[in-house]
Amino acid sequence: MTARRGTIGSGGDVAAGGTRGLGGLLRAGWVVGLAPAVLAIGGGLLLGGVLVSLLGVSPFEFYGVLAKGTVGSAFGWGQVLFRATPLVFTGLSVAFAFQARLFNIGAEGQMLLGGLVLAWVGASTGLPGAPLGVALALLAAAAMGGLWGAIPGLLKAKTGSHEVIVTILLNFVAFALVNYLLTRGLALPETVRTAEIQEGARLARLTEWFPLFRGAPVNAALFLACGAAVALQLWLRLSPHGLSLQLLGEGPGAARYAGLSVGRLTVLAMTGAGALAGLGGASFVLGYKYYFEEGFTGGAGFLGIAVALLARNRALWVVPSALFFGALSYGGFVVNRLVPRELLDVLQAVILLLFILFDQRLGRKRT
Amino acid sequence: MIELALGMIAQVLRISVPYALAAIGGAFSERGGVINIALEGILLTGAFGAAAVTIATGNPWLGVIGGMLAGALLAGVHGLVTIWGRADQILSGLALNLLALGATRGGLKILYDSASNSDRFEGVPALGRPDSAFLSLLGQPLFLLAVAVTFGAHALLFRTRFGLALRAAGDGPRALDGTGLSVNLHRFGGVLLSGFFGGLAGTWLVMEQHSFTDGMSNGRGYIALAAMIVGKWRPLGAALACLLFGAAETLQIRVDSDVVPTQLLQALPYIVTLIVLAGWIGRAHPPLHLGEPYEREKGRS
Amino acid sequence: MNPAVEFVEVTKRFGAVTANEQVGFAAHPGEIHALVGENGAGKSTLMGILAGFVQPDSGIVRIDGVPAPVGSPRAMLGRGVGICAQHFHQVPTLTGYENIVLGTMAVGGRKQLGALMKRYGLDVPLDVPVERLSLGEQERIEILKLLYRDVRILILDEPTAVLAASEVRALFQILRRLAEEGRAVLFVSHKLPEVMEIADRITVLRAGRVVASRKKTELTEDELVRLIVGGAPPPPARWSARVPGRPVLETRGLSLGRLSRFDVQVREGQIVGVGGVEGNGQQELTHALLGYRAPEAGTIHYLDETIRPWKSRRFRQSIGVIPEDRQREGLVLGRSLVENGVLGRHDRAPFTQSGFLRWGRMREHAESIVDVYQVRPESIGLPAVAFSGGNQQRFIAGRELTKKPPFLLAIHPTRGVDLKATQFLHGRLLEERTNGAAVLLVSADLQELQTLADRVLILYRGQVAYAANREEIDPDRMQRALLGLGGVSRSGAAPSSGGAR
Repeated sequence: MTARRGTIGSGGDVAAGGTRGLGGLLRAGWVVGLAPAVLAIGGGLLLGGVLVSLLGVSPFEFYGVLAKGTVGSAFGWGQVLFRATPLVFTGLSVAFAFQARLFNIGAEGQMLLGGLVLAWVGASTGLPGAPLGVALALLAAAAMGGLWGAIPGLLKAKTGSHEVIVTILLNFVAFALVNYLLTRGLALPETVRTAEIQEGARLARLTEWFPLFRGAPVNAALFLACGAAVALQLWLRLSPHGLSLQLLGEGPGAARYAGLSVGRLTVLAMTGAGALAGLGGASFVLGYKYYFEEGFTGGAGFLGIAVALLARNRALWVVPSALFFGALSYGGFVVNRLVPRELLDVLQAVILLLFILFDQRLGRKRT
Repeated sequence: MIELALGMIAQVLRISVPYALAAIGGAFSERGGVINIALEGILLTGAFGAAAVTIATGNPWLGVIGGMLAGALLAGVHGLVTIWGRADQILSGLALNLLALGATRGGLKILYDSASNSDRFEGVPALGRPDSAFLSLLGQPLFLLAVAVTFGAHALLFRTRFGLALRAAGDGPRALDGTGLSVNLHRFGGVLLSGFFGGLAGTWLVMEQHSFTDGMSNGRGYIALAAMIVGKWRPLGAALACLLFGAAETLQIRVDSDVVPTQLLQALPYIVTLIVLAGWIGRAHPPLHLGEPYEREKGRS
Repeated sequence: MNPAVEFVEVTKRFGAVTANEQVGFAAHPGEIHALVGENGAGKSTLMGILAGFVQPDSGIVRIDGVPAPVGSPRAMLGRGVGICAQHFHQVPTLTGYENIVLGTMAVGGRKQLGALMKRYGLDVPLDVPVERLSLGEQERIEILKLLYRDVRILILDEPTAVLAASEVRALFQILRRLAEEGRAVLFVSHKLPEVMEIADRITVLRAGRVVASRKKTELTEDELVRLIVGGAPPPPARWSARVPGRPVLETRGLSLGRLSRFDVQVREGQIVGVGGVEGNGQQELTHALLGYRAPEAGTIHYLDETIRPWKSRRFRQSIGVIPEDRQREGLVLGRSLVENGVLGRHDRAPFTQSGFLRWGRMREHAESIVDVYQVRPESIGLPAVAFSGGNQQRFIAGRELTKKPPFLLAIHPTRGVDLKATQFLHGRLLEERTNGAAVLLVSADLQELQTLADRVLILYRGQVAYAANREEIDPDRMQRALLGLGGVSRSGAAPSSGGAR
């Protein structure tokens, strides 16, 4: 009778939250929302245990080493937080586009180009000191990412090309473009990295304030990321454009019928997503190495999809979700002496699969 | 001159084969109504499966079978998750691509103790030893198989009862259900076929290169999807579109890097795909119920 | 002899909505059995259960006296039950022949089909994709499909809705013949004269329950109406003469797709009705007005201005629109009434101020709509999906009318809505007219047009085939024009002979 097509990651409870004020939104249905994630993670970890036993490693030892190396020490936490930082940005990027039910698979390319711009602006002479220098670099990176994200938005709006294929292809174009720019003068000779950025563009390492991190690379970009999550949550709640995106996403027919400008909103969704992903390099470029290096993203753009998914595309939930995937990412290095670290990549994929399955099952029961 | 032209054509064909096979696979999945972004991972898994079986048994033909089965395995998971699990088809595909990337990388380490490539092996032996590039391509049993598969796929989709029912599953699942045939089983059949074809595409890659390298599918699955759209979800059309993308890649290899920088040429196949796709879209009509799980009690549709 | 079909205490609910409640009746071989009731009375769901598409929550369906496994089209087909549904179960891209043989062994199919076509006089092109056939032709394909499978129990859901009078006659001959061959025909309709003509036995459903199942000879048409609506038929909405004001909306020579050179003028305090079988250009008209597509020719004028809805949102924002498909076009189902109440206006004052949404204002607005338009339940926090069709439609009407729009576009505003809500909506539309709104009413329901409109235009193949002011309407000619059977419009436009396809 009613249209019950599953919408991935959409909470039927958002509507109820809509009348309960900000507090209501934060509380609304979070227990139900959490169930698929918990089941998926549990199932994934169980399967991971089976896999490591097949490789001749005790699952208890495996998970023991994993837990101890990641969240068992301040240094481990520092590493996990460092890896979670770009994931917050790319997760927010994917979640942003998904408000309008658009898939941004292009966060990887957007982040890469944004990172290059960070390094380029950050290293340019005459850059003002902090915090203005940082702000300028971030602004430029967001603009670059937004520009790259706007392309699939425009193509979708003008020609109807599916954003999934377009963003995927644009990733490959971005890789080539970055390579080209590096060889044409941006990289230091004989290397695949750029020059170091100015002092004024650098973000502080947390280990300077909290020595217990013992040199872990986590830095102030973490606060930027969390700030972005809070800002996005508020924006979606308080801004008419934020509501427009959500209405378009949940009821495209009705939104169009009501006269919302579908094309413009599509471009907005993809541009915003690109801008957020463009900031993904802040942690590495401005706060850790102080330069751009080929392959620095470490697949954070792709993992952002998983982060957003597990967070059901809610801005604030992106933070814990990014932490979880950050832990798994860093966990790969921790367990590498026991099993190939790719096992954790497989685990991430399995958790994703289980999540979309459980989300579908449980989500349907609620309607 | 003719020899040069023939050599060029042979190279285009050679490059186009994996695209074409994967695109045909995509057509079978999507004709039935299931979006198959997992094609990229299917290609990769197929390549790995073919390499592993060939190296383990020393028999490249067993490797071909292994590659196809490996592709079908991943496709089978996609089918289960999306058809009966009713999960989102795009997300399932993306997750499976991540899975394939991680699993093949881990597999390299476990089987060959290398982070980048497998042991080398001989591919499927050629028939005879012609001296021209063109004739040697014609002497490749896998090439002949690919050509046969292309035409066979067309016949399967448009000349058989299965093909009819598969197309009905994508364009009018309710009508198919009403005749007593199972929508879900036909869709699953289409997805499995995409696995076999995609696996064969990966097999071709690995047999050409004589070893498996990490991430060797390199976006071919995605380009194949674009080719399938340009080819209007028809096996022959998709294969033709693949020749275009094959030509773009040939150009990338052949053009002198002094004229155009290599790094930019790398992007050529993707840019060509983007342009063609953007210009083509209005004319392509996807299967009417693509992306929707079938629900008998949905009411009117 | 066992009945061909027997329903025993069949109940089906969709969420909170009860479609069938303890339904029980029987249809016999050799009988044409009509199933009547209002929209939403549960006829289609019940036939869906019989065809195996809908799984009942409880109850038994007996075929030839033996309980049938429910919830499987395959099993029902095996028992000889076939359905010609309201929205045909066809694959639009496949040819008629492919659709017919789909799922069967096609060997010798053509010959057998030829014989069937001859025997029943069902002439239809077999080698054209069915999406290119007319609805009448598609229906013939559907009936052929059933005959090809030698179905003994035929369900026809509203089969005459898409047919011309002569086609209806031919269909009835076929149905009579099928019954004489000993098959059972279940015939769903809401056209009572037809039912009285063709049926042997009539079952009436109201709000999901069987209220009567009798031989036709035991019933009069008046009794039937009473049974259907549950008491005396409600009085029609009151229309009173009114002098229209200045023109509000006008199209001149509007052409788009199959719509060709369409002229209409709607004045203040006037309802202009546009009728016709669906697919004769109504959609193109509404799409042009909504700005979905730019017209190929012609102009649109609004309050002394030439406008381009496809370029600018301004016109769309100033008018009221009651959409055709309330679930897909009228509401964002997963969102609360608060958000739905300001849909399309949320980004302007008073709901947005200095760039911020004002949720308090939005809530007040939703509350006032719910209050004035009697939407039940009165909880603005519930998502739109939680409301029944009638209440959803009340809410949409409320949203659009509280704008006090100078121009209102109402597209099939009461389709699938229960009688009470229909009366309510009709009253509201007339009230808007009294208050000076210009209303363009697109409807396939001739009754509705005659009840509400000051002037009626009938579209056939994209052209006006009949036009008349209220007092001059000739129902017979209007009906004929609807089906393309001549009838020259007053403005002189001849019915189209060209293929508007």
